[in-house]
Amino acid sequence: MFTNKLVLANRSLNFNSLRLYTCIVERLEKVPLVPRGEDVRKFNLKSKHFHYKLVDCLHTKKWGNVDLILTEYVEGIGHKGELVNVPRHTAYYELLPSRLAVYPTDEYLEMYKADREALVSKSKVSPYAMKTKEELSNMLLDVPMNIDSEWTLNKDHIRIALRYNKVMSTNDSIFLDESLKIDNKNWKNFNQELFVVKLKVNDYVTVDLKCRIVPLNVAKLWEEFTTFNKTI
Amino acid sequence: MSRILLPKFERVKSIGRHLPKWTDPNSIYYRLPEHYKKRQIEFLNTLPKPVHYKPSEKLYEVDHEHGVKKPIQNVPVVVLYPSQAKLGIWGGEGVVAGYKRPEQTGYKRPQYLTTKLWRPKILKMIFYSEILDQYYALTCTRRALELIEEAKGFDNYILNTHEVDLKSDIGMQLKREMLVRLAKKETDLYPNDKEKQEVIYNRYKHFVLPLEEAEWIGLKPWEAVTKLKKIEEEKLKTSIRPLKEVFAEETLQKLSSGEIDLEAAQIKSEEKSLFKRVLEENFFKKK
Repeated sequence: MFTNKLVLANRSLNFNSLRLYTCIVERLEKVPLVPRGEDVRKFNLKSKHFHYKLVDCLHTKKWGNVDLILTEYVEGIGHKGELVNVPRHTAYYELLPSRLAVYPTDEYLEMYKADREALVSKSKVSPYAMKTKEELSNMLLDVPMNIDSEWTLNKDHIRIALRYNKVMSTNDSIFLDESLKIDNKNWKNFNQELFVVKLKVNDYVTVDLKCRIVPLNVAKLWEEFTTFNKTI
Repeated sequence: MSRILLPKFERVKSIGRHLPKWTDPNSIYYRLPEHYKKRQIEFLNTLPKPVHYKPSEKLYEVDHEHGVKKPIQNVPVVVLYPSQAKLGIWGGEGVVAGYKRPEQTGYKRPQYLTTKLWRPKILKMIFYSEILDQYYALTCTRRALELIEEAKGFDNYILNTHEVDLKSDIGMQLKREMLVRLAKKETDLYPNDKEKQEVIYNRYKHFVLPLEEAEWIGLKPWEAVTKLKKIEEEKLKTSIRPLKEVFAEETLQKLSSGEIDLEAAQIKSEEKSLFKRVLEENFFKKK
């Protein structure tokens, strides 16, 4: 009866009550002392004992991450037997229901002890390798070259072009095909048709990178340079 | 009138309603197994853990006016549990209903009391239980997830927590199924994979109960009564023996001991049967 009245009142009038959270509440009016040894819950509460004051709202607090042990290799997260600290959403919606991870008990820590020790001796493979492979295989790399001066395509040119797209690499990881010879005379053929450069991510993973040559826009560079000077 | 409208504590109500049934020796509640009755009394008398209020750490308070120390009383907040709470794992959370004064904003206005419902936020999750080897899509709260993390596993949380704190029908149903499966180890718990059976049985070894006790856990009183009626009916059926079987046994015993003479008992083929003699005497002779 009492609850029905409350619900109906809230539906029509009080929209603030639709907010959802776990509350901690304090009673404004004190309940009188009951005799010793008697259950407090037997006291018949009056309406003044239902006047509350909101003390704390636990739902709004930050939750943080959770520690787990992986039972299998997971891309972008870690290797088998590794202790990882992951955000809650990935833990509750991806890892735990699919049994890719478990909570770290003493039993599981011992079970995957051999796998964790074997990781040190193995060649290091980061879990982000396959993600980088996906991104690089979808990328079309523009290699900006100066048309006026004489040049032949080099590893440094591709390394710098990658750096413009925020991909850091070294000359050892880039493999140019030797039959490919691109100069300042035949560059127009490679503007339309793409050529492929191999890029090594790992000992195990390599990517075919699609590239094309683009004439360097001097005027645009000059504009950027002037605006950069003004900021300083 | 106001007393009737106000919500009361859930468990204290149920004590008053059910206590005469349990004590009366003629009623069916009296015949329930003793471990079930003991658990039910424990359920009624234990206080649940505080969820929506903070109990004070001190036991006493000083009243400076009179110079007397007063004991502090921790009165729990009344929480309402809707029907959806029984189908999920809310970790003891529920709806708190009460009155609140609005906060003062801008110019002064009269502060009337307004009704207020504080409701929990609910998430939909998928849980996997190791013992039952099955997935369950259940509603839960943030507090429940934190408690599962403390217990380190879904199965551990459900087996560890008391019925008072669990506050869900489906949770108690899972608890009962888990304990039954642990009791029927060799037939039900991974019967094809013997290695996994031992690993999981050793993991939850300290929860194991005998099968007779495990089947009764988490049953509501009316559910327990229906179960007891079924058991008593089956007992009656087995206890009542048809007289056909009883006489057959007796005769076999007499024959083996030699009380009956077989020659005397046999009907002679030359003599006429009793039925024929009666017929002849009464009907055929007259004609």
